[in-house]
Amino acid sequence: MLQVIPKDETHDFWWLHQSCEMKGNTHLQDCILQDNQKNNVNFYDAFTCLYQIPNTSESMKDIDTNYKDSNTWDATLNGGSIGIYQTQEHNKIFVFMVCMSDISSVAAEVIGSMKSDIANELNVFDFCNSKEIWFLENLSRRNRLRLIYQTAIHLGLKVSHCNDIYAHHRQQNSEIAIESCATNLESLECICSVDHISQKKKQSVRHFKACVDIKKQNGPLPIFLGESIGYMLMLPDIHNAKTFCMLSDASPFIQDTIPDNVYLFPNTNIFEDNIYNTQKISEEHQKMSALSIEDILYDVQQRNAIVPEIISHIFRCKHKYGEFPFYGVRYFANSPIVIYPKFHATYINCTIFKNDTSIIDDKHYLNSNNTTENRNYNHGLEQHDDVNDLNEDNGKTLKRYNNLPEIMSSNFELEIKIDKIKDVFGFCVKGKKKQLQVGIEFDHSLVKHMLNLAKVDNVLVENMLITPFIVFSNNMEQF
Amino acid sequence: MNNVEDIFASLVPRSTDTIETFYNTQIAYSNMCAEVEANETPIIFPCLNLQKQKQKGLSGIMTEVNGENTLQTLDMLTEKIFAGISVVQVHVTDVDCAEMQKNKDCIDAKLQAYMTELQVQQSNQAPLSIDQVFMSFKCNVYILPEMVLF
Repeated sequence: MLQVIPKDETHDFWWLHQSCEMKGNTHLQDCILQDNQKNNVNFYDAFTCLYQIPNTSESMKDIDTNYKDSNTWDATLNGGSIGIYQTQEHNKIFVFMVCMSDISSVAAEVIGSMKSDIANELNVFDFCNSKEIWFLENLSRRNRLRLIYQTAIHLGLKVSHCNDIYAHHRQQNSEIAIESCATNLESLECICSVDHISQKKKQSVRHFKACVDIKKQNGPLPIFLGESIGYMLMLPDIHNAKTFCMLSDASPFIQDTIPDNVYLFPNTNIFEDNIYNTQKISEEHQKMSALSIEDILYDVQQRNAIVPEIISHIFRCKHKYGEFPFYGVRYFANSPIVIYPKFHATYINCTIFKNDTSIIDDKHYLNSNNTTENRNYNHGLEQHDDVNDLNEDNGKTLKRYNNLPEIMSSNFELEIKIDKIKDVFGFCVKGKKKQLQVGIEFDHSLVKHMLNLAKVDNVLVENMLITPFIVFSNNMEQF
Repeated sequence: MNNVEDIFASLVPRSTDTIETFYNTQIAYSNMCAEVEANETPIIFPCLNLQKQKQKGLSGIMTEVNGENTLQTLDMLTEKIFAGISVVQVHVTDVDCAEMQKNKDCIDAKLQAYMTELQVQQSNQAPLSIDQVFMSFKCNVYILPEMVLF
């Protein structure tokens, strides 16, 4: 990735054949310098961007290279994973290659340095609408697709691919995979709108972290569930899941939305550092008084408060027995009211320990509310409904763990036999205490609540889980 | 209870610490932009997966900033900017799938070897100096329309 930022060619670092020249006279130059000395900020039309016709070969003559890379670079995996995932839903096996990666931290440094250099002079919209930002976002996507294509070739798998039109001319034969769907885990969006009252043009920037505006999503939306769980593909239309062509469908995810509203939808699972956190939260909530939706509605009415469309949608939701499926909690004075589904989601382990000395395998399911549920895991080629096959090497028969005491007692049993383990309550890898990170297990009930809470009321929305087959990860941070 | 952010939804119960952090972040963000008009103050919208992560701060949020504000107000960019997920369908028949199942260990070994080799190659390359980036950006920022910078 260190080669991603191409080195200087001609006058421009990022793009070939462009340079900026002063077009004003010496008087204008003096004005600018004076402003600088006085620390004033004035805007002058002082520079012009020039395109220089390159001395290229005959074959490159008519090709626009303005948006091409200035240098060659190699695809790399940065803080993420690449692997093969599969599903068996709809009586048909789909196999996917999935890459989750960011660009080098150099990109973050570049943005950081831009902010430190010019943050007081440049406005947010110009920054986010700049070619640099477009370049970095596109580069990140191309890096992932180039990596998938190269890995597929290496493994002898067939994926759809096309020529990378933005590649440097020395890499003009470079190929990238064609993605079925994609999402950014952190992104920027520039918005231009007109104020309905003042009729003034308004520019704003939206910065998304671990979520997207589902209204802007075209085609399926991948949601990261955890390294050992896989991804969930939210499909805008159940019929679209039938064929490959439709998986690449670029039609809007939801329609019938209010134009200016934002419909936030998660693209990352909720993770807790360990199962004890979920217990702590559960204990906290038991001490709090829950607000019924009726009470919240009454409060809203008394205050003549304006409730956003998304929240009023939640207030209108009722299940078939006429009860509200949600409740609210106010944490402290002046705190926001948080609406939760009455259904409590289960947390499961999603940490991968590939080391042979791992004591706890990543497939052991933890249940945060100590209830046994019948789970339906018919979506993968390789599901361990029975975990007996997971730890055969030890000659021990393990069963699915349903509650924490059971897990603890099981560990205790292991501790007697293996001296290396020091901590009964933690999980040990190579003698080090390793916290066991957990993520929410998604099932149909939770997905239904998620759609309700995000006001995705398109009845045709369907989800498809894709589970890991083989994965390579260099993620330093556990999600 | 007058603002958009006074009521929001979450998929699972959140800790008081998370809600407090979110609340304080909202206030801190508003204070940071105290000079701008009230309706131009950045707003933080929580998503269903609002969470607080170690060393990474809050995630599962969307921040809306007025485009006219200075870049300083866009305070929450992280090193993971433009990190993403790409999903590509592999063209395989059912027979191929069965074959893959049989040879899983072999494919796994090939993937591990290939990626490790790739990483070793890249770690041997000379790192890029941040000075190169600084110099070049000053030149490039001039491209922005009607901007003069030093």
